[in-house]
Amino acid sequence: MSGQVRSGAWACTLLTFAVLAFGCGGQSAREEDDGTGGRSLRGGSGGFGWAGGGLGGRASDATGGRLSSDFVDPGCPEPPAPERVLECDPLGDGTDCPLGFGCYPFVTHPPGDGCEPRIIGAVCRSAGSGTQGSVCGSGTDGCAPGYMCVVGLQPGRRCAKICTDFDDTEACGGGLICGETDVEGYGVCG
Amino acid sequence: MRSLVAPLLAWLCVPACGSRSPLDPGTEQPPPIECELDTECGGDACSKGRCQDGFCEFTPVACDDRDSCTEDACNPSSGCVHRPLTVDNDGDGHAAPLPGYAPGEPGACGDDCDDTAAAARPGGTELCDGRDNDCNGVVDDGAVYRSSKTAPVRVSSANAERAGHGGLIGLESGFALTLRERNPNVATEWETFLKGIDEDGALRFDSRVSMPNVPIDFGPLAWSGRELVTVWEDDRTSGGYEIWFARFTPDGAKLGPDVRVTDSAHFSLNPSLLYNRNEFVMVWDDRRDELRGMEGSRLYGQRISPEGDAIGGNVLLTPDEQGVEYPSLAIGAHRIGAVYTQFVAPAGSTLRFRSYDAELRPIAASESFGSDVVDPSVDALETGFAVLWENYTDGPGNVLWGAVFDEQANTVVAPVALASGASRLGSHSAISLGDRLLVVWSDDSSGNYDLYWQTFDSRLEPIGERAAITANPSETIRPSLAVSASGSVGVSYEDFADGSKQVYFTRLLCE
Repeated sequence: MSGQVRSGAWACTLLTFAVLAFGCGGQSAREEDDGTGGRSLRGGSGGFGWAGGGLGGRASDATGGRLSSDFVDPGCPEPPAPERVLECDPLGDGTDCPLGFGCYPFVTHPPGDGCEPRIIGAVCRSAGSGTQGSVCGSGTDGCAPGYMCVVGLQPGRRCAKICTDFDDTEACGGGLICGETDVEGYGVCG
Repeated sequence: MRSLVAPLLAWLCVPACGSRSPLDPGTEQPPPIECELDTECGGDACSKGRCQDGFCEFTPVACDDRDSCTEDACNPSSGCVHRPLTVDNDGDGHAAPLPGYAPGEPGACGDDCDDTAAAARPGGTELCDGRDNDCNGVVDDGAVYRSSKTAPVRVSSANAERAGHGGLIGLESGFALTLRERNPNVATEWETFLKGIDEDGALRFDSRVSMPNVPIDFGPLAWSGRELVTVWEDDRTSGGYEIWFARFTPDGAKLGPDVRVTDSAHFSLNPSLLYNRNEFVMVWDDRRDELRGMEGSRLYGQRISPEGDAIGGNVLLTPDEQGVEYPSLAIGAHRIGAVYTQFVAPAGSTLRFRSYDAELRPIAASESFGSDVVDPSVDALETGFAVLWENYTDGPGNVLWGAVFDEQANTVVAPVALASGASRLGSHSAISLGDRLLVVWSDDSSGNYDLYWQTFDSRLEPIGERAAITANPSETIRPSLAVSASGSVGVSYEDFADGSKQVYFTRLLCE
C-alpha cells in the first residue's frame, strides 16, 4: 500500500504558465497579442526563442501518442547552470519597467534533445490585475505586478504572489507558504 | 480454452478440405503427398498424418482442455500446451484474478487478493502486517494504531539545501520514497532520489532516479511484488514537460533506462500510478490537444506490463471533457476508480469520479461535485471508492471533504466533512484498510501547521478521536502514508524544523 503526496496548496514545484506559452511555440495570436502580465513571453521579450520555433506540428492523434522507445542519452555535456536574463526585478518597486508594465519571471525549457541550457529570468510585460488565485491564461486579464501565472497551485492557471525566501514560513502570511516554481530562484505563495 | 491452434489448423486444412473460392487469395497449397501406408505420412505432435485413398491426410490435434483459465496451444514437438492465463507471482499457491474480476469470483481464474505477498492468500491467518492475509477484504482486521513515541527521522540528505518528497510505499522490509533535493553544488541544482528506509527510518539505499545531468521532478511509486516503478514529469527534451517512468528492484537498483511515456505537444503533468494486480496503470493530465483548439487539459492513460513494456499506446480517458487535471487512481474489486478536477472559467473547479475497466475503457461517471476543489485522492473501500479533497480560494480552506462512489459512479456516501475547525487545512493522504480509511492531514489548529490522523469506517464515519502526529512550532505539511510488512503505517512529510524545508519520517504503530 502506498501514499502519494498530493499537489495543490503546497505542490513542490509549480510551473509557470509563461513557460507553457513560450515553450510551446505555436500559441494562439490572442495570447501573444494580448500580452498582459505574466503570460506569453513570445514577441517582445527579445532573444529568448530558439531556431525551429518550438513544438508546432507535433500534435499527436486523438488516441494519443506512441509509447516512446527508451530515452537515449543524447550525450550532452554536463549542462551549464541555467542562463539568467534579468531585465528587471519581479519584487522591485516597478521602476525598472515602463509605465503600465510589470516584471514577470519566465523560463524556457531545453528544446530538441535537451542539450541546451534552460534560460531563466525576468522581463517587463504589460501588467494585469489578477491577484492570489485569480484565473490567468488565455482570454483573461493577466496577473498584477508581484504575481505570476502558474499551473499546479489550483486547477487551471492561477496568479500567485511571487516570493523568494523559501525558508521563511512567515514571508507569505495568511497561512501561505513559499514554494518553488520551475523558474529557479522564484517561488510563489501557496 | 483460448486456442492458439486455430490459425495453424486453417493452413493445415487447406490441402485436405477441397476447393477454395476463386476470390479467396488464401495461401499457396502444398502439393498432395501420395502414400500407401500411414507411416509414410508422418506428421508431428500437432498433426497426425494417415494415408487415405492414396494421399496423406493430416488431422490436427485438438488441444482444448475445456479450462477457461488456460490458453491452449500446440507445440509440434511436444504437443498440447495449456498455459494458465493467470500466474502465481508470490509463490503462495494462489494466482491473481484476471483484470476486471474480483478474486475468486467465477471467471476470475485466480483467488489471490494480493499476489504481491505470499503472506496474503485465501485461508491465510490475519496478522498485523499491512496485508489482507485472509483475503476477506480487510487489512489487519480490527487493528488499532498509536503514534510512535520515537522522534521523527530526517530522510533528506544532510547536504540538501531544501527537499520535497513524492510517493511513499511499503515494502517487505521497510519503506521506499521519492525525494527531490536542492544541491547548489550540482549544475542542475536539483537531484531526485529513490531512497529505501527501514522501519525506523534509517537509510537502506539511496539511488538516483534519473541520470545526474537530468533534472526531474519526483512522482508516485507502485510495487508489483517484484519491482518498484515511479513515474514523473520532466522537461529534459522537446521544450516542455513529458511523462517518464523507471523501474527498480526492492533494493533500489535501477532496471533499465528511463522510459518516455508521452511525446506530445504542450505539457503532460501530474502523473498518478497504480499496480492493478496484473500491470501498472499510469494516468496524467495532458495538454496535447490544445494545439487543435481544445482549451485546457484532458486525461490520458497508459498500461505498462510488469516487465516495463507498453500495453497499447496512450489512451484518452476524458474525451468529452476539457480542463481536467490532478488525477488520482485506485483499484477496486472490478474497476479502476479515478477522481480528477474539472476547471471551467470563471465558474471554478469541481471534481468528477469515473470508473474504467482494466483496459481503461470508461464504465461510468459521476456528476460534477464540490467547489473550489484541490488535492483530490481516491482509495478503494469495501463500500466503494472513497474520494477526499480540500478547498482553496485565496489560500487553503479549512475543511477536508470525503465522499464514496460505487463502481457505477453512484453516490454511496454524499460529501461529508472529515476534518474541520482549523483556520487552514491543506494537504492530506489516506490509505484504505478495506473496511476503514486511515487519513492524515495538515492543519493549523495548534497555531501552526501540524499533522493529525484519524480513522474512518467505510461510510466515512469517524472511529475514535483525531490525534496529532507532530506537535512542533515549525510548519509541517504534505504527508504521505504507506503500510509496511510490519503493519506499521509510515508517514513521510515536509517540515521546516531545521530552518528549511526537509523531508522527515515517522510512523503509526499497529496493535
